[in-house]
Amino acid sequence: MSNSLETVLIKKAKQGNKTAFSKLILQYESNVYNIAYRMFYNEADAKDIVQEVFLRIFQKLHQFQDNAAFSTWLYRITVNICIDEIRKRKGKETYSIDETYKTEDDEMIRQYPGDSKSPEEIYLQKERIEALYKAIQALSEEYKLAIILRDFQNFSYQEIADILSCSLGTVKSRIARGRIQLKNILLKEQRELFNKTVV
Amino acid sequence: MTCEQIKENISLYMDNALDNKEKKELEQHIHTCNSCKLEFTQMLDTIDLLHSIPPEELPFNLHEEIMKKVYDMSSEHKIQSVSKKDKFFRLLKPMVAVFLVLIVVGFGVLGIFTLIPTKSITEEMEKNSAPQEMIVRDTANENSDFYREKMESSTDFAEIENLPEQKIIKTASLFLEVEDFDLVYQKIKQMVEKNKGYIVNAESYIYYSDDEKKEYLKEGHLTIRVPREVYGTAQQQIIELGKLKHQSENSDDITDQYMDTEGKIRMLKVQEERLLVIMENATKVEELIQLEQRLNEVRTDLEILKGRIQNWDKLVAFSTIEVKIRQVKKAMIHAIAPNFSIKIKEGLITSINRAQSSMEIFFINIARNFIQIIFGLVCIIIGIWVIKFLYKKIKFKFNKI
Ligand SMILES: [Zn+2]
Repeated sequence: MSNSLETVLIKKAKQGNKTAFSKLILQYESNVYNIAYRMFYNEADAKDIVQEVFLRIFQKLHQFQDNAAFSTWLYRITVNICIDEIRKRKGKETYSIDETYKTEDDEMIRQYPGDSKSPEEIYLQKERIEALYKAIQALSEEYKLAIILRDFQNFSYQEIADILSCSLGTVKSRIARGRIQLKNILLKEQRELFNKTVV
Repeated sequence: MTCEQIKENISLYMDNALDNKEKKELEQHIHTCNSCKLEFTQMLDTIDLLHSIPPEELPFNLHEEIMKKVYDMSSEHKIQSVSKKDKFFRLLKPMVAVFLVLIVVGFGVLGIFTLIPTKSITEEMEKNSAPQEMIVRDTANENSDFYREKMESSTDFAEIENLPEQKIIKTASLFLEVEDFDLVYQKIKQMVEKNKGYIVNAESYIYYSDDEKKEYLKEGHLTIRVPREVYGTAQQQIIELGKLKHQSENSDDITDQYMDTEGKIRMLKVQEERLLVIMENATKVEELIQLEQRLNEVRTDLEILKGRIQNWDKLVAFSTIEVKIRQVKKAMIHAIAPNFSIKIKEGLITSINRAQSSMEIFFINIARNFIQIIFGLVCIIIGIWVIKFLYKKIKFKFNKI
């Protein structure tokens, strides 16, 4: 979407035009959903987050400054809502990652049936994705967010700094350290898996 | 550079986020250090794995769900949900009314019964309907100025004038069969203009044509808004243009919601003024920013509520009539009678009311007199039995004689 068109849509949406608002958010929904999905690895939670994000955008649109980037503002709200939700859960109960995996199992198989791959390949890919998601869930919030924004959503370092409201240096170190941690978790799991099959 | 620093830089190297000097240093180090070389290949695999994951597809209908919530939050949509609630209350009202009538009439009848316990049901009914007639006669006969003055100054009237104006949204839908489609279509549009209404939506299309494509039949929908004062006559005028096939009416009383919203607006205005006063005296920047935010929120709420009132005003001032017209060949037209004629409408309603109330009184009397009726029946049965017994005895005696 061109910038001028987006500016017009924002202006109209601010005046309460819901059609303009609908057009405005359409292109961002997929990204917001994917950020939330990867933060919670769960469709229902991701859907709730997406709805909350866009309702908040609608309510707070009048506060949005026209000279700022709308996308940055929107993703900042997304990130904040995700973090709020995680903190809320931490306060209430320990969040079991393994349980989520079990319930999502079937869905993971159904998700990529279109690929022309052999059953083994599909199974392997499914295993790999699951292992990766599991590893990501084990990361701390900061690293998790940095990696999701960088490696899944393909944001630049500067964009991530804007979204997270932190310095470029912080972003660089979070991405680097997050990836190292992630790699180590994956290696450890592989080793455990290997040991199990040997025994 | 230490191995630790190199290992951190590997990740940045892969994103091309290092400067030339750091880049060169890293490349040289990896050629000489096996540990960092392994780290490099492992990191490459990890990032490859991360990038191999396809994005999740947006769940079906999520956009619609979001927009539905957005609409739910804003004003126009609230009217619909309100009117649904209203329908429930409209159903409840007559039930409550009947219940109250039952109680009042019940006590009245009970009172009469305790005084004159031996009156018949029909006599009782006459008594109950009598006061109504008397009131009618009173107003008809007493035409004196004294009486009129008394009426106007009575407290009842003052109260009625102080009551808020009823806010009722009226909607009707009509379905007509016509012979000359274009003429009727034109005439409806003219009628709307003449009545200072407006057309919200109008569309027409061909729904049938014969095999030779010589004859076309059209169908059309019009949504019109007319001032509520001409709501009845406008409907009548449309009905006269064709043969009525279907008619329905709906009215939503939003008085309560309307007053509620007006009250909220008054409250918010007070809040707004108060905030402005506080802001004038505020000195700290932080405080000012907070106040401004709060003021913004209050003003947004105000705008939403004002918009709602404006929308309601429009809906109340202009009644909606949905008209569907279908063109048919002459022989095909069969009309139904309009379910009311505007002129006789009130008469009809009052006569229905009267019929209802006399039926009610009849049943109430039966209910009230239940014990008496049972007692009477028992008496009659005992009486018959006694007479039969006596008759047999006499007969027996006669036979004996
Ligand atoms: Zn090294």
